[in-house]
Formats: sequence, structure tokens, C-alpha cells
Amino acid sequence: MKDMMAAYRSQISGVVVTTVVETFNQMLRQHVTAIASKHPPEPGPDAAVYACVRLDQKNTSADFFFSFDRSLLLMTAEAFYSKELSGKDFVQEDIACAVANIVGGRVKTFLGRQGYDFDMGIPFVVTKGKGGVADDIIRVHFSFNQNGDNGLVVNYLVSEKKAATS
Amino acid sequence: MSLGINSADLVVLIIDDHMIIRQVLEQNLRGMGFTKIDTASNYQEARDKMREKKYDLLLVDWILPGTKSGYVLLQECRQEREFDDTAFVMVTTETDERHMIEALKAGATSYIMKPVTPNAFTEKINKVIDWLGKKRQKQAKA
Repeated sequence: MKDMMAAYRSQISGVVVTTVVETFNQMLRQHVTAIASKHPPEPGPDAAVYACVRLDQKNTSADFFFSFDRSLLLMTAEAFYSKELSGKDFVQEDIACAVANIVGGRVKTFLGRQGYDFDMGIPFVVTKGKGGVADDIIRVHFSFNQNGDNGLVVNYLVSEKKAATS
Repeated sequence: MSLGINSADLVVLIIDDHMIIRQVLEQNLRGMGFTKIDTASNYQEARDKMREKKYDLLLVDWILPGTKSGYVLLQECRQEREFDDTAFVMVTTETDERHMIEALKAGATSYIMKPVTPNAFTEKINKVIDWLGKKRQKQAKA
């Protein structure tokens, strides 16, 4: 299964890019663009909100970790809510999870069309961003302003499930 | 105004666990002239509101937290005669055709994909308003 996910690496990245850009630019009234650079810095823990969505199959899970720059979430919130409400953690976390949910759903659909049926969990906030190593991971980056600052990094990690021991 | 129906007269319930999605949908509806809009974040809250008020249109997230999804809500309501004239629009992140067919077979009036884009949203909702108009015309003739 990991091989399959590796084979679809570029297509999955494409789905993530298209969905994130569409979500922010058409639905959330922000201007977000994908960044080509391979390893731009992620926002630090204090400046970020982390969300995760898991796609699950019998023996495999694919975790999508999202590191959102708080500035991007604040700008997004301010387009819909009062200034006071926009600064609240729960408001920003809700936006983070909503985006994670949409991206996860689109990737699930893409994998379904390749014949792989995944279940998608409810997105959740995690306290720390997850990095990854070597071939297991795809990193996709987005900027949100004219300075090209990182607004969002999506890491995707595939894990084989360990067999249950009795 | 579509087939004699004014969007300002229609009573809408938006059901989605994400506040931002409820807000996006509500703002899109208000942009189309809707004024009577309630929201719920899960199945139970939606059911409670549906007991208190008769809704013309429900926008329902396919997946909701808890034991009952938006899809289950649709299936249940389509078994209940009091919802015969209620339009159900399923809102989903999945763009798979089978998913859409499943929704329509279960009795959805239409479906909207996330991310919600204003043009696609307006087009779908206008068709749903037409559907409601035809239902009411039929009722008036009967």
C-alpha cells in the first residue's frame, strides 16, 4: 500500500494544491498560492495551528498534517467574523479543521477513483506539527501574502498498521 | 423570485459541524435574499430545531460528528411524510459520482461540493427554489 501511495505521490500533491488554493481563494476570500521551494521554513509552534486528518484502510493509514500560520487564519476569520471573535483559538482551529476536512475529502475521492477505498476520520487539532522523514512524506507549501510568507504547509505521511498482538 | 417563490420567505436550516462552513453558507444565502436562516452543528441539534419549526430547505453536511451523519438524517427524514415538501441539499467534500448518485437515491434534492464557490452555490440553490416552486404548484392544484 505504501508503494501505491508513493506511485500517486505527484497526483496527491496536485489534489492537495488545487483543493487548498480553491478553498482559500474561492470560498474563504484569501489569496493563497503554492510555493515551489522544497524546504521553506514552517511557522514556529507559537505562530501556528496544527490540524490533522486521517484516511484509514485495513492495513494502512495516511495522515495529513496541516501547519497553518496564525496570520493566515486570522485574516481568514476577519473576513467572516468580528475582530474580537477572529482572535479566538477556537475560531482559528475551526477554520484549520474545515480546510483539513475538505482536502482530506478530495484526496479520499481521488484514491477511490484509483480503486482504493479509504475511510476518512473527523479532522482534529494537534498540539505540535509533525515532520517526517525520507520517502514517507509529501510536503506542500503555500504562501498567503505578497511577501511570499508561508501560510500553510501540508505534510502527508503513510503508515503501515502494526498487527494486533494478543 | 422563482416560480412564485421568494427566497426571503423560505426558512432554512444549515447543519454543519464547522462554524466557518455554516458562516460561508449563510452569507451565500443572504446574498441571494434569504433572511430566515437557522444553524445547527450536529444531528441532535438539527432534530431539535426541526421539531420546533418547519423548514423549507435544509443544507446538510454529509458527515457529522457523533453517531448519526447527515446522510442518516436525510434517510430518516425521507421516511417521514412531514418532510415530503422539504428540500434537502447535501453538502459534501467528496466529488465522486457514486457519492452523488447515492445522495439523490436517498432523496436529496441536490448536492453542493466543498469548497463552496459562490457561482456554483447560486446555480444549485436556484434550481432547488424551482423544485420547491413546482412542489407548491402541484399542491395548489391538488
